[in-house]
Formats: sequence, C-alpha cells, structure tokens
Amino acid sequence: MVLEKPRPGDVPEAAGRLRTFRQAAGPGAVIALLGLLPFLPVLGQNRYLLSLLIGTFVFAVFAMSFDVLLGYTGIISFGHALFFGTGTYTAMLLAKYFAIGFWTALAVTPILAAALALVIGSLSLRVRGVYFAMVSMAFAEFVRLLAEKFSKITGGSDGMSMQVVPDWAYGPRHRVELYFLTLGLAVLIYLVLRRVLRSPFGRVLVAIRENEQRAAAVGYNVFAFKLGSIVLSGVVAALAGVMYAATENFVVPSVLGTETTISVLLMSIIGGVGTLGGPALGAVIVRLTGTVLSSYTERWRLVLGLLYALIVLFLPGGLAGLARTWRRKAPGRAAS
Amino acid sequence: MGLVAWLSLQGLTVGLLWFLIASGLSLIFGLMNVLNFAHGALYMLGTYGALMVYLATGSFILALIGGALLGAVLGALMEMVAIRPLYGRPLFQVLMTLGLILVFDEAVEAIWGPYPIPFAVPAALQGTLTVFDRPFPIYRIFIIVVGLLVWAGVQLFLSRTRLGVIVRAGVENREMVQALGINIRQVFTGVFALGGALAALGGAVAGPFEGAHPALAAENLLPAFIVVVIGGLGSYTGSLLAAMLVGLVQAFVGYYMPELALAVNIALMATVLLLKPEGLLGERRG
Repeated sequence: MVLEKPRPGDVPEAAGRLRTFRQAAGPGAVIALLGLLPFLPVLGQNRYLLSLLIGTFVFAVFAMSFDVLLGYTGIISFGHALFFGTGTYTAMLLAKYFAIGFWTALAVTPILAAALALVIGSLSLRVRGVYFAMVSMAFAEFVRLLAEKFSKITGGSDGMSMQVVPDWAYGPRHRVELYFLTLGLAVLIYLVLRRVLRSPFGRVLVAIRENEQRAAAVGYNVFAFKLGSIVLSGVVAALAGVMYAATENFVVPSVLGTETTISVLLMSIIGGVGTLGGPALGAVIVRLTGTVLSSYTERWRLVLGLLYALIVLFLPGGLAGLARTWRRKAPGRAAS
Repeated sequence: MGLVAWLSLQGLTVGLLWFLIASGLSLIFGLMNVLNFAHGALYMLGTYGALMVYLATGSFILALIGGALLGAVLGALMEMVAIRPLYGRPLFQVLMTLGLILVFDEAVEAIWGPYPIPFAVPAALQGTLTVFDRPFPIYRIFIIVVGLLVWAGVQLFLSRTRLGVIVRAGVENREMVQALGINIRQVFTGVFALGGALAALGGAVAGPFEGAHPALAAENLLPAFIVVVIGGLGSYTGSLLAAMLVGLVQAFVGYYMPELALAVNIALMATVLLLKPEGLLGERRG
C-alpha cells in the first residue's frame, strides 16, 4: 500500500498566498527595522547598543539551532554547546595555525560539524529521552575537557585570543560593519532554516515529535530523520559558534560547557520552542534583561533561572506561545 | 602489589562518593522516570550545609546529619514545588531540573560567595595509616566505611521494610502498585527526599576531603551519570558495582595517565551504551 505523504502546499492557492504574506509580514518588519537601526540618529551611533545586538544575533542563531532539536523534533540535547564551541574553536584554531580567514572558516566548519554530528548522533540515538540528554551532556563535557587539557594548542582554561573576523569589521571603530555582517548571516540562516523546516523533511520531524510510533508506522525511517535533525542543528550551532568567534575574537573552554547549554536553553524556553521566532525572541530577552539586571545585582542569573522555572511550570509555549494565544483570542481573527 | 592495593583503596573512596549521588539519581529515575540533573547541586549543598553546622557546633557527627537533612528537605521541596506539577509532561520535567542547576548554583554563590571555603578534617580522623609502605589518610578509610554503611542501610531499608518493598515494587511496575491501593505520589516525595539525603550525605562526607566550593555540583554530576548509565538506571546494586568500577578506573588511569581518567570513563559509558544500553544490571525500558 502506498500512503500519500503530507504536502505543505495542500491549501487553496489564494488563501495560501495570503497566509504566506501574513506569516512573512512579522519577521520581515523586524528584519527591516534591525537593518535600518544603524542609520537612526541617536541609537545608531550607540556602540554599546550595537555590540549588545551583535551578541544577540549570534545567540539567536544558536537558539534557533537548538530549537530544531527541542522544538521541532522533540529531542532534548543537553550537550548542544558541543557544536557551538566546536565552531568557535575551529575558527580560532584555523586562524591561529593556518592563517585561514573568516569566510573559509565559515565554509569549512559546517563540514566538520556535520561529520561530528553524524558520529555523535548515531552513537547517542541508540538511547532516547532523558538518556539522550545525559549522553549528549557527557559528550560535550568530554570535548570541553579536551579543550582544557590540550592547553599547548588551545590555551587551556586561560583561553586563546585571535582575530577571526576580516579587518574591515574588526575593532570598535567598525562596529556597524560587524553589525551588518552578523545580522546578514543571522537573517540568511533564519530564511534557510525556515525553508527547510517547512519542507517535507521538517514536517516529518514534527510528526516524529508528535508521535514517533505513528511516524514509523507510516513508513518513515525515524532514525534517519532524527539523525538529519541532529546534523542540521549541529551545523547551524557551529555556524553560530563561528559568528561568536568573529565577534569575540577570544575563546575559553566554557563555551563547550553546560553553562553555555543552559544559556541557550533559557533563551529557547523563555522565548518559546517550536517556532524559529520564539528562540530568537528569547535570545533578545535574555541578553537584554541580563544587561539591565546586571547593573542592579550581581546575581542576575538567579532571576533568569527563576523566570525560567516559572515559564516551564505555567507557560510551556514561552512568550511566543503567549503572544500566539493572545492574538488568536483577539476579535476579527477568529474566522481565519 | 602494594601499589595495586593502595590505588584500589583510592578508587573505592571516590567510587563510594559517586555511589551516594548515583544511587539517589537511580532510585528516583527508577520509580518516577525523572532524571534529576540538579542532583549534583544537592551534593554540593550537603557540603555547605555540613560545613555550616560544623562551624556552628564543632560536632562532625551533627554536621553529617545536618548536611543529609538539608538534602532531604531540599529534595522533598523540589519534588513538591517543581516536579509534581509536571508529571504529565516528562520533557518539561527534565528541562526544569536542568534550569534548577542554575538556581541552586547562583543561590550558593549568593550566600557563600564564589571562593572555596576550607573544611577541616575533624581531629579524631586526622593522620595517615601505612598501607603497603604507602601513606593513606585515615579520613579516606572513614569515607569508605560510611559509604558501605549507607549502602547496607539503604539495602536493608529496601529489602526489609514495608516502605522499601513499596519503593521496589514501584520501580518494577508503578501502575500495579497503584492498583493495589497505595498512594504512590506520597512515596515519590519520600524517595526524592531519600535521594536528596544520600547525595547531600555524600557531599557532607566529602567536605573535609574537597572543601566547599561552587564547582562541586558540576564536577560530580557527570561521574554520577556515568555510574548510573553503566550500572543501569533504576538498579541500586548496579549503582554500587558501577561506582566501584568507575572509581577504580579513575584511580588507576588517573595514576598512570592523569589527563585521561575522565575520558576513559566516558569511553566506558559509550561502550556500555553501544553494547548494552540498559546498563549492566538495568532492565530495558521504552
């Protein structure tokens, strides 16, 4: 028996086009606003704000990659920092020992990350659920230990500094250039991820999240799709890592550690999993509140941790989910 | 031969400390399918709690009891406040416990600061013995003794008391236990308290050995996970065997190739997962 696979385009054409437009309007407006920001009179000259946003773009990409696993496929990885940190270290080491520049690093790292994700993914997919979380955490810790122990190459726990980003975007005088570089990459990655997650591949991931047995019964190779999800997510996380190297030009082994995974988890959950916009929003919120809170208290992470716990308990869709229900309840939208 | 015996004792010491964390993790998972990522934090809080009691009273026995009690109370609170509302959503339970790591870590730094606080070995347990011509601290012997006593005590509790039987039956088949008219939810809180007490007691005993510092939670969580995976989640005896194994590997590899000790243990875990994902003594689940 041949079963018809679900196709994303199965809607009347006009309605589909209208919906596409409405879905694109929100992100489009945000991107346009961010693109215009450096040209605004006062805000655009504020280097501090620009730096803050640059960091946010990097972590938005990282958070989106995490969401491919957690939000779309339903896989909990507590070792996602492994891929992020691998990206950062790869870019730094390539620059330091082979004088390889940013763009080449950006092209090489995904290949490395994909290979790493294939190996680690096929090992850890032998177990599921919490076991996967635990095993992925162990792998990340393992690589963090390597980065710490091979201090002759990596600088150990003191870290290493190296200019990764091209000269035209390096240093405080070129903040605007770096801003556009990171924004451009983030938008590009967002668009690609959006396309991939709306393709049949992405639909199958969601099907696996909803009911793994059913997806398998319909005839999908669940293992292969999960592995694909890990590879996709690992590659994007590694790209975020390269962007991080470009913005910081400095790295310590803790980028590979659990604290990095916890940061991305905070962003994803607070923003809301299962959409790409949610984690990106979460990255903005966590970075901004972190900056604001840290001027009042040294223990601002405690506040974020409690906020996180409250959201896990009472608001499983995160802030994006809250916005969605709120919009659905609003009059005039009930029919659509 | 002397070196082998000496290293074995070293291995038993760390192994038993990890057993105390891992056994609680394993029991909690076995009974309620919750993997508590914040368990390392309970170990750390055991160290700090014991240190506070020790500084206040000067009695080491009271310090150990105080540390374990703190762990029990925090474990029970965690279950009631953060875990219980999420029993229908296992994914979020795991996410919650990872977030709690952040809360506990930050709280510890807020209260006691980021720097290590020394924890003196009590006078009665100071000094060293000679084991095959090598000095071996008496305090490590004490850790081994306490670890074995706790193992035997919990083993007796599980096999000889009514509550212990309910816990073991719950690990085997939760629905059947409920069908027999036992309120398993109350047992959940109790097992969380027991797991918290075991981890915190481990932390308290380890105090004079490691001092109190905020990295304790993270440093001990991973070895405990390795122990649990190798032993089999939900298996109490498995935890003990795996803890001994992991402790011995740590001691022997750590002596000859100190860089590789933890790496070898992670490799050991990966091997077990590949060949027998349910662990040495665990039962296959899901």
